[in-house]
Amino acid sequence: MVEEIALVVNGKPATVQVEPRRLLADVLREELRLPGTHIACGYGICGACTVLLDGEPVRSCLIFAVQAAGRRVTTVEGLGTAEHLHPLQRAFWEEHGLQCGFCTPGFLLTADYLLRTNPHPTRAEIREALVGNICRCTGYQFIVNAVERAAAELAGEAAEVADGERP
Amino acid sequence: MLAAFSARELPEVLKPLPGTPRAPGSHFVAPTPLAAEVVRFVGEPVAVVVAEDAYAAEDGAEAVVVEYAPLPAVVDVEQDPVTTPVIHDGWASNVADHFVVVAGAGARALERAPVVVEETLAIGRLSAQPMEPRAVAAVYDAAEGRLTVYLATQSVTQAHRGFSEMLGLPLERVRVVVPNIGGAFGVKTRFYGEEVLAAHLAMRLGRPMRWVGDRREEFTVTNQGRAQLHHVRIGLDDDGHILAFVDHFLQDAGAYNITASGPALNAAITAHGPYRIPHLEMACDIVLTNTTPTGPYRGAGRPEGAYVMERMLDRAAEAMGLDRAELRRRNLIRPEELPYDTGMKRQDRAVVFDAGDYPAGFEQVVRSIDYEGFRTRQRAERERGVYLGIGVANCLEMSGIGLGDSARVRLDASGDVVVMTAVSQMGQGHPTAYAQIAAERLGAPIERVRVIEGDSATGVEGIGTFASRSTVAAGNAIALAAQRVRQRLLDAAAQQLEASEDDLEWQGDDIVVRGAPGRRIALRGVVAQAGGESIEEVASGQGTPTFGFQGHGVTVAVDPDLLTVEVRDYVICHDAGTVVNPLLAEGQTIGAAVQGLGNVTSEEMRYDAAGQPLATTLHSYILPSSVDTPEYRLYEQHFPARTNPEGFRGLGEGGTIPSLPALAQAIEDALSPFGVRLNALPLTPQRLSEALQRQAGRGGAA
Amino acid sequence: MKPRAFDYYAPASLDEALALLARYGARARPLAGGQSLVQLMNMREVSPEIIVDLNRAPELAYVRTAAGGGLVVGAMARLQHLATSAAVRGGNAAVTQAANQVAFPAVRSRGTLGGNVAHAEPGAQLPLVLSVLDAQVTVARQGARRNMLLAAVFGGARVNTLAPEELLVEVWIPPLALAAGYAICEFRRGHSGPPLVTVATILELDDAGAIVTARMGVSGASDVPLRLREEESLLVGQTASEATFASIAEHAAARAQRGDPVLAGVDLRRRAVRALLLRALTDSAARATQAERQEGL
Repeated sequence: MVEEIALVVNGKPATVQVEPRRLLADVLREELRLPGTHIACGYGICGACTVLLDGEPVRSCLIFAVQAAGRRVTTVEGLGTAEHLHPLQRAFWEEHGLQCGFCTPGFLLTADYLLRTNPHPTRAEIREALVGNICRCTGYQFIVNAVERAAAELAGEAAEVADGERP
Repeated sequence: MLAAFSARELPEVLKPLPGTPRAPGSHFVAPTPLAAEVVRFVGEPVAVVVAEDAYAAEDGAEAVVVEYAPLPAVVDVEQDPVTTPVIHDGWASNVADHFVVVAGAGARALERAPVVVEETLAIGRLSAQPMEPRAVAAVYDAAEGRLTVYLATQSVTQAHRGFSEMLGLPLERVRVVVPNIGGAFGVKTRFYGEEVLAAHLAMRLGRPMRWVGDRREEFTVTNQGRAQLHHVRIGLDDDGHILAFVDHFLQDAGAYNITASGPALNAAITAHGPYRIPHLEMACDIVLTNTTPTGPYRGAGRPEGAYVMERMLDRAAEAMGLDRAELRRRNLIRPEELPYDTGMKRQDRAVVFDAGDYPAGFEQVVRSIDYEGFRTRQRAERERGVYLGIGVANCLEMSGIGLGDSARVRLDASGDVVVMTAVSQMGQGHPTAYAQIAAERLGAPIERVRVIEGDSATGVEGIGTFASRSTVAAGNAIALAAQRVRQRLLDAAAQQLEASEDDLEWQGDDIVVRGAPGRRIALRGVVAQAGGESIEEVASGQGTPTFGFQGHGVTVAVDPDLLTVEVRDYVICHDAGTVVNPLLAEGQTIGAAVQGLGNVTSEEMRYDAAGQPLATTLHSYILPSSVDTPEYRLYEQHFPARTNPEGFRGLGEGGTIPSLPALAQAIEDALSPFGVRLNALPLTPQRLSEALQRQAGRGGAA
Repeated sequence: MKPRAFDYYAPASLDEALALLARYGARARPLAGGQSLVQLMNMREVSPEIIVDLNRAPELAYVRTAAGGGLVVGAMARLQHLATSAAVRGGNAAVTQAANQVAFPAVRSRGTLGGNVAHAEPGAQLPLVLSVLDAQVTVARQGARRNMLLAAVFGGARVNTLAPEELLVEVWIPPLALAAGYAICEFRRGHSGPPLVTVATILELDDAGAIVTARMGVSGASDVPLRLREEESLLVGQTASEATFASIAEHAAARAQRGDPVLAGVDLRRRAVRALLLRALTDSAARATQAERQEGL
């Protein structure tokens, strides 16, 4: 039983034909050739597969692709590009907030959601917000540094826009 | 589904997997890619199913019916030789190997010691759990007879040779490419059956093959780590000076002895620590059990070694009424005693501690954790029902073992530099660090340097990335090769510019005489003169292992009811040697320390008596989260290693090594009002609860 | 870890969903947030032939204030909504706290109240808190509805008492008394792990500090959430004090029977019940006292 579904991924319309059991994570990676979403545990504990569904973080390994029909999905590829890094990506890079990088896309999107809902988080709040993302390499400290740095940069930009200047 | 095979249908690859080099006389035994007659551990592959996608392949795997005739399982590493079933045919027992490391008079010196303390210490089994499961892809070009394998391996050269051997292909027709690795921590150093199967089936079925492990396979098939049981005695004089250290320990190798020897030997060498120990005897039996094979995992035996020494120092201090830190002070090797020959031999080479200032490092820890002021705080907090504890522990991180890594540095006429090594990057930032080394030694702008790792086609060979050796081994090779390239470049430039080499500088696309910008020559021309299209040098890393000090101080609060552990403060002082990149060095240290924290407080691989693994999901094997981890405070010393020209030290594992004893000590200290002794790791709430119950059973408070 | 194949329906209304469940019965499973069910399906521990996806039936997701105070919540209300909604906090703040304690934001954005309750996971917070509150549920099948106490949903560890053709559609949550103090305390091994034991208490005190009403429960100590009715009667009329609470906690701890060899055996769970109940009762009493003062009583 294959279904055709249409969804919007990183701002672009996409149409795929999928069995209902195909997980959103696999469809993003394979049919849509966006391998930035990583599957580490495959059952929703580690958070590596986190993407945004209509702006909210979800575990893409716990959603069937058919459930995303008509919805907007944002993957790490939609956060920024090599030429135009999102401030979070740049901050992770500069603060050494990633080592092997496998968990990083999930962290970036979770942090993106955090900063949109709480633009000035404390370190404790950052750690709390990231508790559902497991990293085996970094020990989290530099990830927290990176999110702090990105928060400051985004707040600065926001302040500039609020003041009527362009960031 | 396309095809399914059991061992019977794949006779060509039914050979034992190639292994890491082993000591002569040891019983090395590797599994075959699929089990033929006997399955010896839960997770041993039995059949392989090929399908168009992972979903269909899993459906196919489920459809496979295996008939098992149960055999008795061996799970304990302490085994009665008379009654314990033997796991491999033809063996007299399950002891695969035995070795002894001795210094001085060994165990006999214990007889002369006025104070002898004895203890049994255990370090439980663990699983590395990198975020990316093992994975392999293979493509076979039948027309050319060429196999390309994409494999997340820590050793591209070993993999290259292994595929050639297992598949009967000449080396030049096999290429192994290592893409980004999503974490490894030691468990991606050996050959696994899936890799051989993927390659073989790509050849046999004429289609590219891919195998990606899932999280359950990471728990059951992938190497596990640690799993040692130590019976230790320490002898001291009346002033608390160590006279002798004697340890008979058992390394649980799992069902096949492919990679257990390395960690066992590391434990034996590392137990010594930064202390004066005139007589030492570390005797090890490597014992098989019906469990997943064990091998190197972050620290690879070093944490176990540090654990036994540091815990024995704690026990000795207690027995002698001495403060734990003071006992350590009395035994720390002083800088003027370096280089210090321990009297031990490792692979026929003397184990000599080369450089550092261990007492200063330890004092930094003691001061920063406020060891002196702690007891007052502890007493005050206890009155409020808060149980604080403190732990301090030291180690020497042995790094840079093994010779034979080479590097190729090539300067193209365009001014681009390519660096090639055979180590693998899995998050340590080799492309950055190695580019820095090459850039500095070459005098080149770093933006022009590109690093290629993990591709057998480069022709560069090496032992691989493990045991904190990459920067030492490959880094030295790169530095040497880069220096030689620079020398040839400057020789040619000096000639053409009629200037002294010392006055020359690389600027943009030119070589320029310093202070005389008009006197310049295009790089392109110099390169052409010196070597044609490029100047290329290959060099091998020179050097022997180095030993770097690392000390940890930690304070914890243990909930006396829930037995959960909260880290209040964590201080690390380590000798980073010549540091290439400070951020990378810190990142490794913190990451390693957090693994140690998980190893002690929340992770445990357990098996039941029938050999069934009890924790095979992340629901029951708990990894540390961002809320469980503290803000580490790092201090560095910088004593260049004296055993390699660049003075590099390995840094990848040091953060884990003393974390095991430091945390154990702190937790025991926190629970000291309950009188409980904690000898076995891990110290999860469940294990602490069991320890307290045993204590209560003996009539103590609970 | 990929699920087995299934036939998939995404009904647009509750009626359609009930019709499907009526037709397929035990061959079908309803899919709410998926945070529990899809996890089990990926691990192939559960493999329904037919999935009835409830996420396209908008009529099941709502939060309303009940006539006498309290909340009426549709089963598909998302946990993140419950955790952040001012209306929920105003209706019953204990529900807000319990919802906030569930897993992580990414799980709460999909997870639903009905799904969380029906999954009946030992140690879970919402099943416990709602039981303690004497919440009620509406269970629907094609052509019929019934109401019952939410506590009756739980049949065992991860087992609910609903028939295959039934669907939990609505939860009625009574309000908290104005001067009530509540506390929800958990025991976990590490924050990435699941809650092993959770305790919830709600107390009302009089001016003299005596306990007027008491509600207490624990999950994770037995297969289903355990309402501590005996302990509640023992507590009513007593003065709130550490000694009183400690004795009650000791009493309750002995009732823990659930344990596993890896995460937490029975003895550890008993320790947890004892400690958490003492803490929760102490916190509840403190908040009740504070609430009283704020009410000007």
